[in-house]
Amino acid sequence: MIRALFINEWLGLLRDGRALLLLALGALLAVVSAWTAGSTDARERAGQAAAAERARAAWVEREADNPHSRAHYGDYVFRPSGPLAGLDSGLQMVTGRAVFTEAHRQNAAVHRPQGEAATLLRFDRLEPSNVLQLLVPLVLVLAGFGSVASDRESGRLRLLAIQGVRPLPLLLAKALTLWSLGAVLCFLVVGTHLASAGAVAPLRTLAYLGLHLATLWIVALVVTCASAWLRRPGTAAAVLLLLWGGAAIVLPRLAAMTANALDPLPGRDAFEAAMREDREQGLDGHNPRDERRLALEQQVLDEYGVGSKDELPINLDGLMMQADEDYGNSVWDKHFGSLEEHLLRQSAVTGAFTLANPLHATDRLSMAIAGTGLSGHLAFLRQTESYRRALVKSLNDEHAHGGSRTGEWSWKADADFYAAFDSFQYEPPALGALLGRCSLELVGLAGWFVGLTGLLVASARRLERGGSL
Amino acid sequence: MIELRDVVMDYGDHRALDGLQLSVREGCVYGLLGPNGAGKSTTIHLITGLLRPTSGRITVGGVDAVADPSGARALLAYVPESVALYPHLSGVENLELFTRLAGRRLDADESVACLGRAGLQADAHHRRVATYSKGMRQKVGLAIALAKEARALVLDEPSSGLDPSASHDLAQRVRELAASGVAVLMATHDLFRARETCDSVGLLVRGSLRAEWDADQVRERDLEAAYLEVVTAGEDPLVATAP
Repeated sequence: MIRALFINEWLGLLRDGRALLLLALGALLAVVSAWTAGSTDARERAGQAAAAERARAAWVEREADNPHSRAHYGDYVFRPSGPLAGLDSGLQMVTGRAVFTEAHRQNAAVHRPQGEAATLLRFDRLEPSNVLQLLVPLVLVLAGFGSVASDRESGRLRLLAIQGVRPLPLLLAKALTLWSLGAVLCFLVVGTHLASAGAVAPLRTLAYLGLHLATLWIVALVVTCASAWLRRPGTAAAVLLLLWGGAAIVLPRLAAMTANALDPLPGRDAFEAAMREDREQGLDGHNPRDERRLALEQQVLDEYGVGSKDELPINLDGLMMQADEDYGNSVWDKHFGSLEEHLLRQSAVTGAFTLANPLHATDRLSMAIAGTGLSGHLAFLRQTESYRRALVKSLNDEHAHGGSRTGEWSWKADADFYAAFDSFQYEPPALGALLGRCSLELVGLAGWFVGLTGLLVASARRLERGGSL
Repeated sequence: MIELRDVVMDYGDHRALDGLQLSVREGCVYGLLGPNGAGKSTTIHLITGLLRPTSGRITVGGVDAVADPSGARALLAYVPESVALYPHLSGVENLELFTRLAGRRLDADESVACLGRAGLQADAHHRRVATYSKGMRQKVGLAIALAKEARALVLDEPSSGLDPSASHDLAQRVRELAASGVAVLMATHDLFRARETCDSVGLLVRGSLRAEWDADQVRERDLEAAYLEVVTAGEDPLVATAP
């Protein structure tokens, strides 16, 4: 029975010019957005790979160099696009994916296509995830608001009931039709992505597909239940459009605003000024009259049992630079740690909102699966800083112990020393770990899934009792 | 075949049916007459299991329509005043779909034969129902009822909005069905069609059957006068005489 009803509902969609137009527009948007985003991502990956290659070549081609000069010459590190950035660019547009690493300072990530952003809010671009999370649900609303209400208004429900059609199979067939309509668009998006993207991540792609298919089932259930409970198709359309607007536009912004109001983030300038202020309290590796430098110098002289730095078998400047780095690192740990806590607290607040909004939960899970969310960005910053610290420490150690004496700023380490450094390699957090940090969103979606299935059964019972027929 | 005993139906404070007794035998066309709001549609919805009575007993072919509405529905077919078919399907496709939903499969020949028996012209069989007149939709509704091979047929204002020719055509089909042993209950305002088609007629006023006439009585007397007499007698005299 469900099969016959399902086929009939699809025939209705395909033979109705308006539904066909809606489907064609949805398909066009799905393909165009996935194709353009996939191509852009592939181009960006290629551009980034070329930039990384040039940076590496420049590092190696400088040949013999003073280690501290090299520490200031620095190195560019790049965060590759998330594995599914072509489907969901997530926060990449606002967080930046390239960092200049050098001695003494931790630079901010650059290459942020959207520049500064006050909150971690998006939904302002037409990319595949926007299409799947915003436009496809709208297509389902427009295609399905009258699915049950029109049958009731016309009297067809009665005719069906007398032919022996039970309400639950009928509602399931209608929900399945809407879901399969969304699924067609979903497969179009993912298929176009696979055809156009530069890289494919099978497990993540399957997870992405599964997430969106589950979300579309939730949307199909909402539309079907609303159409079953509300007597008039017009009322159902109005209510569903309000729900869509609330879930797609209002609630995500409300969540971000609430998170920012409860726990405001310091602006980038304020953050950097506070760090600079703390940084200036530390040892100045370049200032010979700095008191802490003098104390450390004496400590080293005592260790080596010599009376002056000229008698040291090592280069004291390298030790001083590293001591300066160590202090700077502790300042960064303090401020970045605080910033990370801020971001995670904000994320927890917005995460709580997702319990009330499956579309927002899907957005956050989608970013996590795509590797383009907050966790990925924070992991990149931590890995970048670890790389910077290891690089600068190696250079300072070479400066101190490589064979030069204190004050020999023109001493050079040979090219092989620099060529032996490995380039930065970003290790994206594992999918399981990323999803593990989205437990609230997963619980929310599961709750909607179970709750709406219960509501569908309740809707069927209500129709069965006859009160709504 | 269709039996209603002491059926009461309340909508909140309003009593729509008040101890209704009704019986439709196999092979008989029973016309249920009555003014608007008399309870005709409520009676039909109770028989078809779309509503549950406040009290009383309803059976279709011996099956309790209250306790087992699905079992009762399996024995009956229903043609409403306006048959809401799927406009995107043709007459044949509608017939095949509704019949399949009732648990039967028709092949192409059976479908054409069924629509033919219902009086739908052959050139309309494969046209989309969206292009059909009301009379043509009624005929497809009747074909669905025929294909179901139901033992009882319930029609709600079947001739409403039909031209005399279509109405006559429909009445003929109904008579043929009754001749094949089907019990037919037909709620109608059309006194002429009731007299031409029905074997017995019941007059429902304010939720109870005020008069019942067999075919001979219907044909012998002026049905309109009898109708008005019974209906007016049931009215509040003050209201009945108001200008």
